[in-house]
Amino acid sequence: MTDDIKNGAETADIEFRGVSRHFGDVIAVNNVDISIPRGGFVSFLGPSGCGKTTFLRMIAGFEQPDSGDVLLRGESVVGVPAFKRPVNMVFQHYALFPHLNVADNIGYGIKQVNRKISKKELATRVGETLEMVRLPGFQERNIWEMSGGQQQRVALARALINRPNVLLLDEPLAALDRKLRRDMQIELQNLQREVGITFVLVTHDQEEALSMSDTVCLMKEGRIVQTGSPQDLYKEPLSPYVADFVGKSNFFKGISEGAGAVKLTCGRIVEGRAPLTVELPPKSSAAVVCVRPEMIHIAAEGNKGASEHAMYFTGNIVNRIFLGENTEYVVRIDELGDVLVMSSRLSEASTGTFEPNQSVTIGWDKDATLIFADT
Amino acid sequence: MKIYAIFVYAFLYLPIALVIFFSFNAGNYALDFQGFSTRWYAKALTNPFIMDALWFSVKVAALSAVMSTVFGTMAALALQRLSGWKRTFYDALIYVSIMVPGIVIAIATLIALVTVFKFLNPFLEVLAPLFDGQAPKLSLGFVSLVAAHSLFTMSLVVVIVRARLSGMDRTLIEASEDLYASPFRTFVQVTLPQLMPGILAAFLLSFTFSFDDFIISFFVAGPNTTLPVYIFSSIRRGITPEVNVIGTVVLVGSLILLFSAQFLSTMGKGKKRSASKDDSDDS
Ligand SMILES: Nc1ncnc2c1ncn2[C@@H]1O[C@H](COP(=O)(O)OP(=O)(O)O)[C@@H](O)[C@H]1O
Ligand SMILES: [Mg+2]
Repeated sequence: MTDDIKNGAETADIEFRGVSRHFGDVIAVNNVDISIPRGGFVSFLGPSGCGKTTFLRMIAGFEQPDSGDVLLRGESVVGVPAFKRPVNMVFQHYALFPHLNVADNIGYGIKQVNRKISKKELATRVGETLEMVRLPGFQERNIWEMSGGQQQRVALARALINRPNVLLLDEPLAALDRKLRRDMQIELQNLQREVGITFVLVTHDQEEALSMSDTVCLMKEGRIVQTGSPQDLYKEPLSPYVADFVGKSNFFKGISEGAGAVKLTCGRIVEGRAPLTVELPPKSSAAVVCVRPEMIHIAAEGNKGASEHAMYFTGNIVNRIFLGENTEYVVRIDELGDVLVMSSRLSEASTGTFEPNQSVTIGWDKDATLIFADT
Repeated sequence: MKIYAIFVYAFLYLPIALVIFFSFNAGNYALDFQGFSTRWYAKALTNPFIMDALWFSVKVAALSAVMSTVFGTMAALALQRLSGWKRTFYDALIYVSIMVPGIVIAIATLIALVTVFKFLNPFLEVLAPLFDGQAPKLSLGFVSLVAAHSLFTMSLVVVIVRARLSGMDRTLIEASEDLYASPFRTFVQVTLPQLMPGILAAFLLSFTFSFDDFIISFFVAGPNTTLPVYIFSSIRRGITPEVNVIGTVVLVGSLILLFSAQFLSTMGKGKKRSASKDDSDDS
């Protein structure tokens, strides 16, 4: 079955049909079917070693699939070498040519395709592209005279100037510091809207994937386990793996009672719902209950608030992590073990902050509870 | 500095300093200083035997350096593609050929060449009518010396270029292919410029090796005289300031070449290091 990211798209820019790639005993990419329509910003998200880079390299042409078919705009490109494919890649460590200056790096692709291009035309296009990545006037700079962020932009310019059908980005922001990474996330998004071509980004950083792309494909051990909008992945994870990888989650094990209820190992019965499009586990089968930390209400014991929710428990705070906009508490509950609770500054305005060892009550609603089959 | 260190340095450099000093001797004997003069420079540089030997040495060094650089670079590129035991095996062969003493190489080359010539020359007799009855004859000389020097210095080139190659960022090649450059153009536009400092350094080292070499030349050059061979034979007739002049000139020339080699081989690396140093700060 093919994961169609958007229905009604004309020919997809990229299509994988049952593609696998092994390295010895390791299955880097395992029977992947995916269709990526034109003009979107798609992220492939997954832990290190799950096959993201291999997936990207098969689009670029640096790896060939062992089985299955890779299509670019409807044509199979299996066996077509990288230099004949209309896609460009931004490498993780940029891979800028150290013996060429910025202008020669950026003009490299054009010169390969059109060897007779006039100096003037080339200079104009290089200049335009440098402005697009906000590095005007950097033509004569040497690569080693530029900071990491600037090199990143040169790498982007070097790819975008060729007006490829698809731009591939392999963990493009991993080497940048936090603030610069935020800026580049916004810039990349703007750039994608401006040029209108398909961006395919792979990353292990969920924040990066969620904040930039319109579609996220979550990968696990060479397979795509869920495809959807960032909101979908966050709110309607299809499995505990997704719920765990995208955002933070608390998991409690139990036995399904059927009809949207689970009997936890401590004996309490929790009510909840299955994610959209997923069946509830059948009665008497093992189940996992998932609750997001920010959906849990926390209040001092005895105070109203938390105990008004469908589910509530009492316990002690064992740890407090101040994150600026939020505070994370680890609350030790006898029945559940350690529960992660996130409290925003806004809610703290009414509840106050809590100290380690303080007795608190936590509670959440039925709507905030997702029930999965435990596999 | 410790006193013995001073002795070590003195022992190393005093003789060299003396050679330079006595090359400006006005007197007729190498070690009998009669005042400053450059008259032995004029004499040495107009001595046809010296100039012939010098010219012969330069020709041999230049040609063998070119050959060993070209073939050594090709060999290094090919070795890079091998893997497993094959690579270990051929690598070991290269290192062994560097470590074998020059005298062994010299004798082995001499015997090999003489044997081959002995085998081939009767066949060349057949061609006699084509050359007015005077059949071409293979013998020791310029070509055999160039061949011997090329073979030996090729191992040096392989080792130097290999070091450069393994330090090279492989993703640069992929980046070039991603930007529509064919493998050949990638080689010319990316791989070769990346290797160039190493290749040049290897060339200069090969040149100096061949130019300085005495042992192999002595055995394989046949009737021709290289500069070191000439110096050796002239010393047997007594040391004149002329020999000091040659020594000084060769020393200066070799130093210039060695320093350029050193400079070239570190130049590219320095750039690379500073390029990756400040990865995380923007201006
Ligand atoms: N060239 C290769 N040779 C051998 N194993 C490889 C190679 N490339 C990737 N792998 C293996 O394939 C798996 C997926 O790697 P990769 O695609 O790089 O993952 P990711 O980019 O998600 O970290 C890993 O187990 C990795 O060790
Ligand atoms: Mg990777």
